[in-house]
Amino acid sequence: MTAWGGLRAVVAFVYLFMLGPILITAAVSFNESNRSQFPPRGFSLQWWQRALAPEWVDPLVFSFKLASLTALFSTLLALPLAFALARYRFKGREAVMALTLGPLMLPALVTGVGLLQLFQYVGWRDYIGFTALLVGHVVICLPFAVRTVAISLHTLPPHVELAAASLGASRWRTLRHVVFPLIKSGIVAGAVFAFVHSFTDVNLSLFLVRPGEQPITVKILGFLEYGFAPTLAAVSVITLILPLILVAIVEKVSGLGDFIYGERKRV
Amino acid sequence: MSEPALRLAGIEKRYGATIAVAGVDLDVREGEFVTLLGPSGCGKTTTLGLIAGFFPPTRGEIYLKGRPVANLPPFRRDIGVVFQDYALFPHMTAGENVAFGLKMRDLEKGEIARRVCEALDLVQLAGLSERRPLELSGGQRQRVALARALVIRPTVLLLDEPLSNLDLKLREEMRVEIAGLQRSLGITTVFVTHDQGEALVMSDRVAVMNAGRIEQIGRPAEIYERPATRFVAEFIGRMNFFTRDEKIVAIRPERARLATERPEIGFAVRGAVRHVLYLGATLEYHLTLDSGERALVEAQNDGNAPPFAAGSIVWFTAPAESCFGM
Repeated sequence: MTAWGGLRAVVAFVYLFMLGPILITAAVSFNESNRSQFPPRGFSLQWWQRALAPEWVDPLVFSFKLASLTALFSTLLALPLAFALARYRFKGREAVMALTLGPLMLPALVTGVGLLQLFQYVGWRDYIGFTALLVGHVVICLPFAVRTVAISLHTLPPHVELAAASLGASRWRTLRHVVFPLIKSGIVAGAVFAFVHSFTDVNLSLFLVRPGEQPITVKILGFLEYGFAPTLAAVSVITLILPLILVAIVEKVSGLGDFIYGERKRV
Repeated sequence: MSEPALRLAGIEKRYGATIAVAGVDLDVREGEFVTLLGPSGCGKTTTLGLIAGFFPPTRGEIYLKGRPVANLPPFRRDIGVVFQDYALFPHMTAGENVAFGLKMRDLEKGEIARRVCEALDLVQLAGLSERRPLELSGGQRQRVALARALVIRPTVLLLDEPLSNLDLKLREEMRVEIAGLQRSLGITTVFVTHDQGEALVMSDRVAVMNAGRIEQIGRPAEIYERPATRFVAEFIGRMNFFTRDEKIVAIRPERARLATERPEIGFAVRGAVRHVLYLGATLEYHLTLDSGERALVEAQNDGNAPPFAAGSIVWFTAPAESCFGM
């Protein structure tokens, strides 16, 4: 086998294992009976009908809200943090860096347990649910946002800020007219990462839910305890496709690919 | 004499224990083109940054038309800067780049458009204002950077090795063009370079810098013909040094001649030709003198075979007016 043949085989293999389960799940959702058979027997949309009932749509909407706010707050926090970490050498910088990027190393499950205990000890039991989930998700999504913004700050062409200053731009106007437009794709990428990470998280969310306030992933996990039904297959497909659509839209609008797949050509 | 456009009074810049600029005094007259020339690390670019206000001096004061500015941020100084890497804004077109400084001055749209147009005409880029920096050649980017700095009509124009990223031909063209533009606009300019050719061709005065200090400042011909220190003599052009009676005698290689007989007047030492280098327009003779010192003679190539071959015993001679002691 030639080298190219080998490479093709590897790529085919990766695709098979990435896309295979998704395609099988999608196929199963169209089964006629309530047995999750593959290949599916017959064709029916009844499981999709059930998947679109409030029982499933509510947690989906919940997850969407949670992920959107997580993306927003992570990005707002990431901007000053990334600036400080990328630009300045200050006392306690190492500590801030460790705190910011730490959750990346820690299993989300541990963060979840920790947050649950914290909320209980300080008497914020009432906030368990959406608020606690939002805090937890911001904590675990922040590293992604900080990293992408910091990277885009590092790839700013040298001297553009000095050039702007020499042309009469105050620090604020330099940020607004020069720095911000140049790191925009990094900010958007960070927000998208945060959204997707929040939307797909189950480990942390498990500990911080309350009845009526649970994301779709936790709902799916709970349902699984009673066995697998084609309804779940349909829900999974929806859960999978939502973030993909988001990424596709953002990619179209702001050229996210430049940021994710390689450095943009700069002067 | 009127107030200098720019005055540096004893400015110093230290980074911890490192001294980047060790006390520089400099007056630049209105409309003058002054070059800071020196090897890398001599403090010339730091001096430029101090004038622009990118960082404050550790000591000393900077005056722009008599006004002390050392404590002002760069955006309050009215100084145009052209950077070595041009530092164009990649997300803006050439026209928007040039317009930036005018927008920051909150001028009205019509005036901005008119002045951008003028500035682009001036650097011969009319018609390219819609291009982004990425779609321009190196020379064109350089012109955009120049237009962007000039359009704000700065008190002083600072140029930080703006030619070093261009290829040789273009560099030689831009030298003449920038110098011409500077003279016709009468704009006070401080130019930083390590290239002595640029310094000599473009400047009204050259300040040779070494180890954070100005070693000598003067018109290009003064610097070349009467270098004040050994550093200046070696840094600008080439120089032969001989020790005679505990004094150092310096002679430019192109002012020296080779002879078979000892001449009756002038400077003369005997030696052997080590190498003859053929450089096209010139020939170079590398000698080892009887004293053990090395010497270099540069002769015009007149098309005939070199009169001296390697191994010949010759006299290195120079008229007395071409010798200077240090």
